[in-house]
Amino acid sequence: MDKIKRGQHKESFLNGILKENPLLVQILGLCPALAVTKSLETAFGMGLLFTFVLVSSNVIVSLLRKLIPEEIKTPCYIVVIATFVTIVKMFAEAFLPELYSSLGVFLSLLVVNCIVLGRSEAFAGQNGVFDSFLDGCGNGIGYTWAISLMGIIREVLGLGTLTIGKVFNFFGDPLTLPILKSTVLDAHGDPLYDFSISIFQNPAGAFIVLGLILAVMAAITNHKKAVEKAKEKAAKEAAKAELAAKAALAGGAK
Amino acid sequence: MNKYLKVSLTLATIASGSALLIGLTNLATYGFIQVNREKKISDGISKLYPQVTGYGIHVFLAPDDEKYEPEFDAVRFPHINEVYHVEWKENGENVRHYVYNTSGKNAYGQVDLLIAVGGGKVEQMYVVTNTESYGPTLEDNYINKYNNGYLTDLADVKCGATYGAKTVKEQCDEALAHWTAFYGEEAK
Repeated sequence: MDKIKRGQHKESFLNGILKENPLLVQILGLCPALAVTKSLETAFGMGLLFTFVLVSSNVIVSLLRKLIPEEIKTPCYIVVIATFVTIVKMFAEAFLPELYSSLGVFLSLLVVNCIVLGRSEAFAGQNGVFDSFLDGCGNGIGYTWAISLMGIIREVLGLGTLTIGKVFNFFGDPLTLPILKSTVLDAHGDPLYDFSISIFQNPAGAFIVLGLILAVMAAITNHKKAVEKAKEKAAKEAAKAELAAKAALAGGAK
Repeated sequence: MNKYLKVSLTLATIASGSALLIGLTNLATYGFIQVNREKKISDGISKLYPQVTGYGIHVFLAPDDEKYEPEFDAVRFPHINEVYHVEWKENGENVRHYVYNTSGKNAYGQVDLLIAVGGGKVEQMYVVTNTESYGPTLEDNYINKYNNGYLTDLADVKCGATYGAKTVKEQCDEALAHWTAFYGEEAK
């Protein structure tokens, strides 16, 4: 029994990270994913705040699931989610003002984010507190890594540099890594080299990056399926050959 | 009857719990938010007028407030929150310009600005808060263009963020109207 429970807990946590990743597999939460992934730090910050809202609302919804009458479930879930979004907004405005200004209206829009509401309805409203907590963590981590990946790609391709410490400004001056664009200027004030492509900073670039990531994910999944199929086929053929050999042996003996 | 009572009680309890949590968070964060806001405004004023040596603040008050001054008419100038009198010395003489802290809202979000007014025109703008979903477009195609002298007046609203530009224009018009009404004579 314990083993089954442990397996369930593990599944609740791991599913959201890769197998049922909310962004890359379920294609949910696209609006913030396209809008706030101009830079790694903004995307990561959004992921962190999103995870906090998701975990907290999942836990509270799970705690209240037996007390809330069926007909007012959705309004109650929205009130719970809106409360945590407001709290997160206040904390971000107080302690991460740069992140708060970068996220703009998309932080408030977490109230109607389909992942948060979907997990409350589909999972937390029907499962225990610990499983809901793990589900929130898993989906939060899954969403965070997915938008952070988009953020890295868009920042590097679109700006040519990767900046760390501008939004999470706790350790002095931000560090800018020159990847596709030099931070050293020539005599005319232009960078020594610049291979950045500005479209990746625009919404169109966000669609292109998301499309590419989805294509890579699909290619990996298809490859895995093909390998599994080939293995199954090989196993079946081996079994057939074994049967045939056995039959031939039996025939020879007669 | 019991069913309706249960629904009402559940909603009331959840709403009260939410209100309590939000209230407590507000108490814990309000001071920090105010400090950040003041820092942002002082940074903004330094960017608008790097030469400024000092500034005083005139805060907008409601007409029923005992400190109410007629020039700070919140009904006539609903977008203006505060006016900063900024001063510096030029050729041995005191020069005074005005920075208006204004707020405006539209369907896409909120835009708070610092508008530098001198000599009867908007000299520069500084964005304090911009929660508009078209935020970067508004700043790149309108505010920054005006600040860099590519737009000669504020009438051009074909910038890809029309509503945001209208909100900004309303705030600038109000700041100019206030300046003309109360400080125009002094400037002459």
